[in-house]
Amino acid sequence: MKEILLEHVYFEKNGRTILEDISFEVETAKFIFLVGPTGAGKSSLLKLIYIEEYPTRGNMKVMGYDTRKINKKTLLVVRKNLGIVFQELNLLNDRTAYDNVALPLEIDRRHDVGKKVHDTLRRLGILHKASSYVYSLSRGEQQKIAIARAIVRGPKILIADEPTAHIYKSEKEGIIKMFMELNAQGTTCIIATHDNYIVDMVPYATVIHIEDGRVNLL
Amino acid sequence: MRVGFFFGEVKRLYHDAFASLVFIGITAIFMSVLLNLVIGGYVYVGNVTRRNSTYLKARVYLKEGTPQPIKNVFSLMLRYNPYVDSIKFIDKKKAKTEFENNFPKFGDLIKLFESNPLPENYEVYLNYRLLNAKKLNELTKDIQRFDFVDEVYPQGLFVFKLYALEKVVYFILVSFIIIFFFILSMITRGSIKSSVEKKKDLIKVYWLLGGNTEDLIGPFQVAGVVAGFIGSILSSLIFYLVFKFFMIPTWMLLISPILTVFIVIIVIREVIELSIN
Repeated sequence: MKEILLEHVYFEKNGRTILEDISFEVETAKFIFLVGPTGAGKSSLLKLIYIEEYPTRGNMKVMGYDTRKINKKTLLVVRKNLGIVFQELNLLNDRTAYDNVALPLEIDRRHDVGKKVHDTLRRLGILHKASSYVYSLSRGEQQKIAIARAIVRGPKILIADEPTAHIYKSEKEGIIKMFMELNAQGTTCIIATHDNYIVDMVPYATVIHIEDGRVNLL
Repeated sequence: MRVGFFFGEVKRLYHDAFASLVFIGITAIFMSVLLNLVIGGYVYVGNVTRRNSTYLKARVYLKEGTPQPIKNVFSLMLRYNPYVDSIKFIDKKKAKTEFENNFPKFGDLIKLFESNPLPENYEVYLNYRLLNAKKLNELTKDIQRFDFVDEVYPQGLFVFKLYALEKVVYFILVSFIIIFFFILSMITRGSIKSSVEKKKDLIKVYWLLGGNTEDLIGPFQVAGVVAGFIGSILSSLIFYLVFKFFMIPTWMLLISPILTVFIVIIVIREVIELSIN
């Protein structure tokens, strides 16, 4: 099943063309790396996928829904199936690590919030930081909180924008392995990075190279 | 959203946007004080007008020897006049009793006459809502036209002034309710906008994580409603004894809290929906 489909997608912002004639599709449970230099359009492409932005032209479907025609209700349903690690993290600094990770579960009205959050934080090795306020954590720890928040729901599609940017090399492997485990369980992973070290860790991944807003499938 | 989490968000709002919420509360107090004053004033003037409405009447004195059939037709005519609420026929005997009751010292005066000199008359109770001084004058002249009518004396014209005052206070009340809506909604809008600005990160994350609008709006509405309700109910409590003293129904003190809650709920929804879209 095609989880994501882009056909001749263009994206312009403030009169500037950011993505140009992008076409590719992502099957369920695929592992995709979006690689390319800074400013190539990776983050914009991810924003189109998690429907924060909309394509200017072209046909784009996420989980079978046309993103340009999607209504509010369906948008929420789609977003509940996405796990997103934002480039700017978008953590709530005035809340604890626990509160941040619990947020998606609270939105879903889940009753196993405590257990799920603790399991996820333990998996990322930051359970001891559960009650720490986000502003007091290092950038690397904050990055892990953002990853924990993205995976705590067990999403159908994991979208991560530079998820290992501020993480020590020794810990990157653990995080990518965790993504691979999720992928093995059926989660589609789309990771934007310019870190070849993590790309090499997943030999079966499809690598999409973006440069100057255009795509090259490698 | 679970109940515990929901109220956690409300608590956070009180922590983060305390000044804005207090401002809503204080505005609600002032506006409710004024609204209760106007409501109380309107009801009080209305009560005074109604209580005095029986003073507005006309005494219609009949000439001596008016035949019974004419009196019957005249009674019907008066009864079906739109300006007349009710009529009371005072025969000679009742007129005498009335005179003796009203002027006990001069009761013996009537004995000087061979027969009872007091005329039969009608007490015509008038509708103060339909009449005014000009119409009453015309009505008096119309009644006076009949040959069997001796004199017509209108009484209690001050009721018209009371009713005019009631209408003025009613106009003030309606205007004030509009002003109440406007000021409270403007201040709530301003306060909530600044709170929403502070919570911009939360709203963005919430939205991107698939939180629905209701979940976002809910805590803001509860926080705003509590602030506004406390403010307006405080004003109503202040007015409780005043309303009791002036015999104004105390349930009317619920008008300002209900209006406040209504305004706050609508305005907060509007502000947050705008900020999301």
